[in-house]
Amino acid sequence: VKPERWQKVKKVLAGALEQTPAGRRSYLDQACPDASLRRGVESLIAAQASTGNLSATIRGSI
Amino acid sequence: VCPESSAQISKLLVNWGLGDQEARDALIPLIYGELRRVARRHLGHERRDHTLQSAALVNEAYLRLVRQEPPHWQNRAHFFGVAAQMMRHILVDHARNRIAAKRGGGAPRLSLDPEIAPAPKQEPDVVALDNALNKLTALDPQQGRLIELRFFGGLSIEDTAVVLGISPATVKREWATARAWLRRELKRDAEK
Repeated sequence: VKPERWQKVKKVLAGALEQTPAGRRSYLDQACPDASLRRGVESLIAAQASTGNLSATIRGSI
Repeated sequence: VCPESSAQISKLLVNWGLGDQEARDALIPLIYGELRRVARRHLGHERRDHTLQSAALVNEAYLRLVRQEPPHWQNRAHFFGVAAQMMRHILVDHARNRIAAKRGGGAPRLSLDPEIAPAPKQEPDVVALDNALNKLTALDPQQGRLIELRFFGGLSIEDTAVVLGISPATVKREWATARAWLRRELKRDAEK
């Protein structure tokens, strides 16, 4: 990811995170016509939501 | 720290807050020395499953050095601003040395303030977090610094805003997106 691209992703992501989970899809339909940008934003939203056993997987990888 | 030097440190913090770079230069080694002493004392008792509380260590060093609140709370923010970065280096060095020495089971995990990292049991290890943070800093220097201040210094939204010279509303927005990025990065790193 390049810094310029992150600035674009970040802007859309910030807007999406301010929405309720239910409102995010329609927000992205409006704010993010670029499909690949949208995939990036959606993977970040998913990461934000997943709490999982992150620490266990990280420890296992070292 | 004797009372005179505690008063001296408070004065240096005030002058630094007013833009005095000589005061800053005089403070840096004092702060670093105290952080190392505090860290060494805690790391000495470290067990295999021990988690580190970076923000707590920084706070302890602050109380030892300053003893009372300086007249301007902004000066406290400046102290934590430099201390967060120093403590990060101290902890990462320690973790790398531990891995190199092959003692214990990998790097110690970093216990993050629950208010800052609301997800329970989410304690990324120090080295993984440091690597991810370096990548974020390359991508967005201000966000890298923001995470460092919050994670390693335990700074509040308001204190972070003072240190970075931006509004609390901007800190909140940048914090939310930086944290999402960091979580994805740590997850990807773990899946490699």
